[in-house]
Amino acid sequence: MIRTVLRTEHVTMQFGGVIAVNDLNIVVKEHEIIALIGPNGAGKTTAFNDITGVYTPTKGRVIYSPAEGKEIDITGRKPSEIAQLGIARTFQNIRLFKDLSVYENVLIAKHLHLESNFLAATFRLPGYKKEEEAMRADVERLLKEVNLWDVRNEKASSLPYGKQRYLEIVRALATEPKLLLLDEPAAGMNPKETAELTEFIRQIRDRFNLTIFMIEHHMDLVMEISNRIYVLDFGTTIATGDPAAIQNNERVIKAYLGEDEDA
Amino acid sequence: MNNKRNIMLTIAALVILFGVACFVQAEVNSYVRRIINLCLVYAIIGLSMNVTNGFAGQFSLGQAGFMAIGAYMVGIFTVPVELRADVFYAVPMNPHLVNVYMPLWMALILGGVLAAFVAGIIGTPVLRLRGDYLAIATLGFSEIIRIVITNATSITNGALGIKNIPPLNDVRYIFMAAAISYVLITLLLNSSYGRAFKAIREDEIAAEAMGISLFYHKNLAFMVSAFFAGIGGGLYGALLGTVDPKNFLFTLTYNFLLIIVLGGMGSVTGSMFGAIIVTAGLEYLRLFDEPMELMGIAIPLFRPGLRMVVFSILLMVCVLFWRRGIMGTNELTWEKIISFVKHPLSGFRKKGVQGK
Repeated sequence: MIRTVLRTEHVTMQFGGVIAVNDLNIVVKEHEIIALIGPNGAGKTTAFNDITGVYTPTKGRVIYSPAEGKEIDITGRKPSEIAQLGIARTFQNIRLFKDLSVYENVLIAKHLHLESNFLAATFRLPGYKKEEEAMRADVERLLKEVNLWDVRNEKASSLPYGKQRYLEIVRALATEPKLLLLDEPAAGMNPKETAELTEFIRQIRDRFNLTIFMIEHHMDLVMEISNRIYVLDFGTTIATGDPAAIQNNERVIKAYLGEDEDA
Repeated sequence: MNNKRNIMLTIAALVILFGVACFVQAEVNSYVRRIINLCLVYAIIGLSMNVTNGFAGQFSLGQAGFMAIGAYMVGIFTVPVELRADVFYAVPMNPHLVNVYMPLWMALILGGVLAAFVAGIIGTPVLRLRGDYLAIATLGFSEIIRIVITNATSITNGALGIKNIPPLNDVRYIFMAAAISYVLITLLLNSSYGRAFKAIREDEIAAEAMGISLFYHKNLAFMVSAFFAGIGGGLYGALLGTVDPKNFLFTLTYNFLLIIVLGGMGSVTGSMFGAIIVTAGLEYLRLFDEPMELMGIAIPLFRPGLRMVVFSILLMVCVLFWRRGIMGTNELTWEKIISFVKHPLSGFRKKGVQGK
């Protein structure tokens, strides 16, 4: 049986009188690519924030399984702890370390695996030096693999928009995650770039043995690579299923296109 | 290896500067030496403040309080035992402390450690705040430290202050302290921990999502900053030969804020330049405080106090037109110096950000 990497159980998020996410039950299995779609304001990013610890859900639990036979309740843990457990994410509005170089952006993501303490680091003890070298070697390999090595000394903010999106994904990959959450990775991309990104997502899933859970609006991308799709509208899950089923689902069409007045 | 070359060059520069310090100590009059010493002490404290404010991006204004802790450790432990009765003439010194003497270096380290300890206690609740709120809270704690010191009369001699600290106007000693602080802070900031600080400065939410614990790293930056502020404060006390609670009013912190803003928030070398410019500038602008005559006519504004007006105007100009300070977040690196020497004018074309 395939392991369930992430499971949300009745996750509900309420802000005052607004219920942003209502009774969300998502199952993400190992090596899958799962998409979360829905109109603007449906609560998709809130769901991500509940999973990654930015918010603590008002109700429900988030269960994460980093390895076979191991289950951790990550509800309400700090974002940094969740990242250390192997869940990395990107952001809808790119959140790079703007003033730092491409290289430093990725190198920083390696910090969470550092075992030497700050004194060992300050005095450059052999243990730290070894770790630092390993980190740098990893980053070099990673940047070369995704063709960002040539721009490694550029400021992150000076990269073209599309490359910034890639860099954010690469930075998330550098934390060596098991589960990668992508929040609208194709936002602002044209069809050609979207096609390239689709291919890239598939590649990194296989190359880094990842499970991917993403929010996306580009239907071509979603339909092409998702194993399963969850559709959210006003915080409520209105449909679940494989791409073909979702495409023909009446409620989904209504949520996106509105009610047909003649009906 | 460029890295090895840079280390050698840094060591060579420090050795040469130490030679200069020895020369200054032997040949230069005590007034100029005092200014140089003050520059060095301010550089240590400016650097320490830059760790939290410039690198970790947490706007803290508690430096005066941490300096006071360091200065009082020096005051309490380095006054010769036989002179203590003279100092504590109003309220006798606490009997447990009255015979405890320490050499200066030990008192400095103790002051640094104690300041870091206090910072750890303060930091836990306070560093949850952001921006202005953090500034106000740290400012408040800095005043609390000062008030506690003022009222712990049997230990600190209260509002009378502690006199008779063996005066230290030794450029070599203070240069060594500054050099060690500089090297240690630079090493920390260039390590993975320093990168984590910068990540927090750039974007807290992203840093946290990359697995960087905000609580741990903010506290670490705050404590390291307090440690060196404590050492700087101790040297400040030793340089003045006396410590007094009024020396450590919160307005003192603004001097260092000035240094790091002028030098560049997030630049170690910038803090050095900032410290020199601010300290030396305040001294050499003294000519504005003296009456001046031009062609037999006394210019009316030249009187004590004008110096501060001129200085404030210079600062406003700097902040208005040069918002990122002299260095911004860049460093003066050996690469830049070498390329400047080789091609004196082309060095400004492109700013390098170091990879490897």
